[in-house]
Amino acid sequence: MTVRLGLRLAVAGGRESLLRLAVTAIGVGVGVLLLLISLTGQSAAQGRAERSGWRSADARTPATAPDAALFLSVTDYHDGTAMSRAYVAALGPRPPVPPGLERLPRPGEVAVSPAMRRLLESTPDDQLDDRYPGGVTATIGDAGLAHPDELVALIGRTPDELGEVRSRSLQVVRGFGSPPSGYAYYLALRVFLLVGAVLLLVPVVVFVVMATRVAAAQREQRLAAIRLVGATRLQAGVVAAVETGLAAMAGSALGWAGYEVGRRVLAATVTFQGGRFFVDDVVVAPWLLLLVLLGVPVLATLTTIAALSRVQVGPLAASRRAHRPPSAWRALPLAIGVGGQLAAAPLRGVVDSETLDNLVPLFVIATIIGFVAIGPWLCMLAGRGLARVSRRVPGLIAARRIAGDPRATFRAVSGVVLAAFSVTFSASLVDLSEDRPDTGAAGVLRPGVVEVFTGGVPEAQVAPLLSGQAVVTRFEIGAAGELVESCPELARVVTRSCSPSGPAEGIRARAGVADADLPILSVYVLTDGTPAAENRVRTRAANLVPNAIIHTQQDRGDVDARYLGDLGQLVRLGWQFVLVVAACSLTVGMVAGVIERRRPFALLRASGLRLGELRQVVFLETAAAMLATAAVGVGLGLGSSYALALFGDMAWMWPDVGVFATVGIGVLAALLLSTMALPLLDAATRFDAVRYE
Amino acid sequence: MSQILVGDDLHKSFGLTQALRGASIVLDEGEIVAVMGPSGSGKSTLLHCLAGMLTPDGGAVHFAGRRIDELPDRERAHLRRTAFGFVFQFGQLVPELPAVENIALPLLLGGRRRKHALAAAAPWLSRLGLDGLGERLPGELSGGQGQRVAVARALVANPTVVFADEPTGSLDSVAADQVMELLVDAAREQGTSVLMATHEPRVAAYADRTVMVRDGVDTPRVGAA
Amino acid sequence: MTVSYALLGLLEGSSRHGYDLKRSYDRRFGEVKPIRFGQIYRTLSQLERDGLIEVVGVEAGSGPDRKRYAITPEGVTDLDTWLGEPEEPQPHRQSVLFTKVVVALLSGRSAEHFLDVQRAMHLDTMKALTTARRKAATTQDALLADFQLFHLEADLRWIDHTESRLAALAEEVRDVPDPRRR
Repeated sequence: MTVRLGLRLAVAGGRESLLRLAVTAIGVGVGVLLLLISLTGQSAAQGRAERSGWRSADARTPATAPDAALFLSVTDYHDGTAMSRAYVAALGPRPPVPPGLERLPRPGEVAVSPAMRRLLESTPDDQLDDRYPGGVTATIGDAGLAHPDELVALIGRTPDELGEVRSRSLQVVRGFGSPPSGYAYYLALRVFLLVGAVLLLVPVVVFVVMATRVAAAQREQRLAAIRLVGATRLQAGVVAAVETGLAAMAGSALGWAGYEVGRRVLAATVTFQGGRFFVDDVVVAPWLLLLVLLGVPVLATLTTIAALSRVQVGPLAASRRAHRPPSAWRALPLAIGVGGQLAAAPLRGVVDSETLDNLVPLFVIATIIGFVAIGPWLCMLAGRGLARVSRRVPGLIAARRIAGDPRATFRAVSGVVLAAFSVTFSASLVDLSEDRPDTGAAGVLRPGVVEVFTGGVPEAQVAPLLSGQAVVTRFEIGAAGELVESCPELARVVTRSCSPSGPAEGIRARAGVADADLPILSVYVLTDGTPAAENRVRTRAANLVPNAIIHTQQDRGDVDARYLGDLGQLVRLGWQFVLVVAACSLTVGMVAGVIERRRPFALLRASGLRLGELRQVVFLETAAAMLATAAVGVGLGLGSSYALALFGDMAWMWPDVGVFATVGIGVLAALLLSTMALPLLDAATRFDAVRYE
Repeated sequence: MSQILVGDDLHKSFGLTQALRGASIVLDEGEIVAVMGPSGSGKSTLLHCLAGMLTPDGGAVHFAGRRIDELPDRERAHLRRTAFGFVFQFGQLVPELPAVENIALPLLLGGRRRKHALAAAAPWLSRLGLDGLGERLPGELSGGQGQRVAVARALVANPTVVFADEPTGSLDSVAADQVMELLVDAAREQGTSVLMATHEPRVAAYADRTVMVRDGVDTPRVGAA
Repeated sequence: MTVSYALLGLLEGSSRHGYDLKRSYDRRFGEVKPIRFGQIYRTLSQLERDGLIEVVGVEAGSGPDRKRYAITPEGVTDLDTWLGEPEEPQPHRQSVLFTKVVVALLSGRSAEHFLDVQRAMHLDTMKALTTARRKAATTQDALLADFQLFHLEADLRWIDHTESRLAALAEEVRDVPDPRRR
């Protein structure tokens, strides 16, 4: 019966209550959408790892087939785009097969990705096709591609042919899954995304809570009237829960629809490591999806019920609620968090490391909670500061309002300040500098030079490359291999001083002219610099030395930049996301604040306050509180990350100016976005719009 | 005539303000009593304590021989639904429900089926001169009409006591007279006692007797009753 | 003077006998301000002398109640004017209450006791009037009772108001210098 009453109250009552319902539903919907989108990152990374993990299969990969195969995987380039070239030779009738294929290509067969097939058709043979000896017989399916446009080729060989390759990269594999040690890079990425999702969780939760609290004052009044007439706490709770639950379920459905659209948009637009994600990977696991779709409405309903404890009985008694100023206990979580973090590094010798490893993340969380706990107190300070500074009426009124209900003020701005915290926290841990790191490798290659790093082959093998212009470096195999080079010769192809040691380790350099019997380490071929010429050299080199690593200057720089760029892009994406959430929560906070205080505002206007001044009051309230708390948030973010870096021996650096600019712009943007609520002020607080009984 | 509601030496403070300092009051069955006093005298607080909406810091409240100031919330809610009725100055109707459902609210909360509850509420519309206004929302009614809906709601469950706190406070004199007439007539008909707090003598004049409250205490009645 | 205008008003509608007039007057205004026959005829004579009414007929028989009176045009004009003018508000009604308070304070007695007693009296009267009003048969009777009720209410408001300012009044009253103490 009470449930029916709750339903009646939720949908009856004309335009105003439908508007409230809609706002709550939209708020919950947006929250659900954001939460789901942030959770897709995990499975996207996982998916990519699974699809492309077979490229790094080795002897340790768990067996999936009774027989083995020889496998060699090489990174290649074409016009600046990375490609994967792999060779495989079955060592028995039932060898393992990589995902995306039904069987291994036989000797003379080549399996390519769809994008590679198109590229082969459009490129002259001697530049690309000849690199893959054999006929293209199969297409690698999506299950084996990192992204839809990836260029991959798998060349079938006989065991004898492949066995000739002298390289540690040649492996005997029994399975093509992801290696058990984990594709380390993607693992790190997953952890990063998980932490990011958790950090995002707080603003989203705050946002959902606030969306539910829209028009809370009217709800309280309604519930007080019901309580007066004799509803028990349980009945009042049921009524409130039904109201909110209805709106929240509708919002959840909306959010789900938005997520389905949003994830496809993301899959189509976000590029990572050269390609977009597969739509099927940008998804949330079904159980998690269900948890969010049901959990968020439950959360919203619980917040409404929790707020019920404040509802008094009867209209008169409701006005007697006293606002206690925030107590000193609030500082406790923060003290624990910050204290714990600072103490963690010195304590490393004293307390065992596993305990510390588990505690430190908890301290970070305690810091975040602590920050949220002292937030109202910070707002109170901001209010007092504002009162001291302002001379005119709007400032004084705004100061009074902040001081009067600091909790509500902080609730509105908490999304933004947590965003500020998150951004500065992550920025000082992730190296986002744009400088190309000094790889310490061979100096910059001159234009038109193709470097073929062979890892040590007899001269005879690379003879066709050694026409006229080529320069070679040789080395002596021994306990500590030594590189011999002719520096004047080398100067023709590289710009650094003499010591171009390639990616191999443990090789020292010595100037001089080398013995023609020594094996060749690298061949530097001079071309006229045209892509066609470079590609021809590449193709020839690949056929001569399948395992060679072939670079031009363009590729070499790009690799590093791309690596950083991708991570940086992901982090930046995360920031944008966080700031969007923050802006949404700020707007909802402002809107809710305006609706809740319609009557006092209408009275202020009626007694002479102009609309422009009222706008200033609302704006100043939010701005003062936000700036004060955001500043503390940034400080805490830096401090926490510093403590974390100290503890984990990670590199810590002052985020560059760009980061602070991002935070600053983000905060201001959020503030500007929330001014969307201001036009609402006029309509909501017109005196005749507020009826008295 | 038996004593239906007894407040004995009631004390109540809100923070530093002491609203009641030992006020006592007795309400007989079927009696209409007015509690008068200036603003801040504590008459509203006294009413709230007697109705079980506030718990006094000291003293006791007995209703029909039973002590009610120490009852748990669930039982007090039951009392409010079945034995008590309330008419306040404003803010008591649920804005989303039409008038007839507002009247039926105590019955609905008591578990009565919607059809029955609305059927029980409908006659009150004509009884209080609200014909044709049953489907209007509180926001669409005038002040006097709204108060009459509140009176109907207070009486629909046939309560033993009706508590009225400045019931005509926001009404003009004609509307006020109307509301008081209807309240007193209906109460007498049903044998309901009425305890009303008011600062207006013309409203108090409807009562059988008046109790003066000043500074949180009731002052002894001077002169003839 | 009120009686004169009451009679003029009664005559404006139609000419009447003296006896008829008395009956009508009693019915409409008898409760507010009762009147004796003699007063009626004296007033009628005065009105006739002032030219506001005139005799238009005489019944057979003796005595002034056999005369038939009608209103003159001057009478109509005069009535019009009277009806268009406001009455002097008469703020000095019941100033005896004020006197009592001051005298009580002067003599060193507690004015509160008097105010309490007066309030109780007023409330009792109001209660009686309210009961009477609710039983009233006509709107006219009800409004008459309302008239008295509102005035009593005004008195009560003054009583409450004075009670809250008694201390200040007492000081002032007792500070007025005693001429014998020069």
